[in-house]
Amino acid sequence: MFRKREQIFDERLILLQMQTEQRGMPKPKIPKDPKTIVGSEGFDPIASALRQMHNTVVAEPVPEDFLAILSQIDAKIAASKHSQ
Amino acid sequence: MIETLTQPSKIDIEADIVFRDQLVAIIPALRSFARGLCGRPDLADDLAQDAMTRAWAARTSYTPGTNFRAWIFVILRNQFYSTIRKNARMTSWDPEVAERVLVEAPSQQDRIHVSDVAKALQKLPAEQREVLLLIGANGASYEEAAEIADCAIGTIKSRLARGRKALAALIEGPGDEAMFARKLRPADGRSHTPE
Repeated sequence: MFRKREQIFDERLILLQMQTEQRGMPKPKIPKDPKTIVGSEGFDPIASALRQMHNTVVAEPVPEDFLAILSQIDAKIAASKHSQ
Repeated sequence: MIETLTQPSKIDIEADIVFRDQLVAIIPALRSFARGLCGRPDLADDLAQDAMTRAWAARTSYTPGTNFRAWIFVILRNQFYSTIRKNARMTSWDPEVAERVLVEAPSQQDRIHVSDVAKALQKLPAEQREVLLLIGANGASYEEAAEIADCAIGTIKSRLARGRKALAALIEGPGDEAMFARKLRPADGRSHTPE
């Protein structure tokens, strides 16, 4: 069975993030649940909506164009290593 | 992309690898900030990709250990303002973009739709919109928001208060502002006093 392109991109991004973590970089922040943002003062619908907008985009698969830019960067880094 | 003519040292290559890792980690937040600023996914991704490319080209101007998110958000923000001066499409809202998602309070009393907030956000002045996005959506502190927006912390607080009030008025009408009159604060929990 063929995997969806988005799934492949997601897996590539996860791999990139794992590589990042292995190099001692901090893991990307995982957004908090919108209902936890306002703490004990009560529910804030605007803050929650803004946070949910953010979380929705963060949860989307990263488009191929972004990965293409990273691939270009990787190629430049590899070329730099090779030229040493 | 700008490349140095001299041969890169091992230290330069290591710095590039670290920088590239930071780019990978920031992509989701960068896309979110761009989407909130211009309101259209296709244009927002163009903006975010452009910011990534510009950031890589300018990577030697980034000081390692400083706030990478603020540094690259400044690049994206500058590109956004530069683009809207040339292209009016960046300020128009596409009503079919956002799904109508219900935000429900635990009490079930205060409820609004995310798409209503997203739509209203695009009607605000860009200076107020970016502060709401930085603090409300991205969890930035006042200090970080001030660094990104290149203004004083007091200005950030003032724009946040005015932006929030305008947003509430756009969503529910001026008479119902009290329902949304709670404070929107940075994620660190510090409250603010509007100027």
